[in-house]
Amino acid sequence: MAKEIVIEIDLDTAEMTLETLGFQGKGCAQVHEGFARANGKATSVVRKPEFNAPAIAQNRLKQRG
Amino acid sequence: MSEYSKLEAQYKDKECLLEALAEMGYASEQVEQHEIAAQMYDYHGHATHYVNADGDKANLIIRRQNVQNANGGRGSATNDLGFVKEGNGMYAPIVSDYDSHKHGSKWMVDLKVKYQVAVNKKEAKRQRFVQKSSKIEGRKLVIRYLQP
Repeated sequence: MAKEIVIEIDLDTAEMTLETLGFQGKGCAQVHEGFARANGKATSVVRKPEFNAPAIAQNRLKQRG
Repeated sequence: MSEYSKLEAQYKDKECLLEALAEMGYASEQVEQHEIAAQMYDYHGHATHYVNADGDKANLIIRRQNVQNANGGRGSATNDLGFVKEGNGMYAPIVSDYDSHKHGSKWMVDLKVKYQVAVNKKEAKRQRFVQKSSKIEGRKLVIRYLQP
């Protein structure tokens, strides 16, 4: 799945939200951080189940080790 | 009334702020840029001291002859419009009460939207995303970027 960013800006308030699609794990957070830094403040962040996918896998590996 | 008010600093990227101002009708040649904040003047040409006792100063200034008035014209009976760089690096608008009819909250929201579009375009390019679409859905501007 291609990585996609969807930015919504409310025309009445200028409030902005950013949604990432097709990301897993830290790559998603890095994208958010970049846009938050560029905008000078935190944007609304909605984390999806995919965010934790690699982290869970990593934890499992650690437990096995 | 010419009294100035300083609004919340919301603009971090000068380049994107200039781009947004151009979109709002103030081309870059109409915006003075000062490394050290310069004095602002009212419609009489008098230096003002409303926000700062030492004089109202800004780093980006649209002089009154270029400021759009409420009737769509420029210059007549308007005051300088400025953006002062704060200690945190963010630019804060300084607008006179008189000009707030034209440059009030609605104008500021429109400027902020255009600024965000410019900032996000720049950041998307930095992260190597390309714009897929940009459209208005209801009262929201929805921009989609793809990473090829």
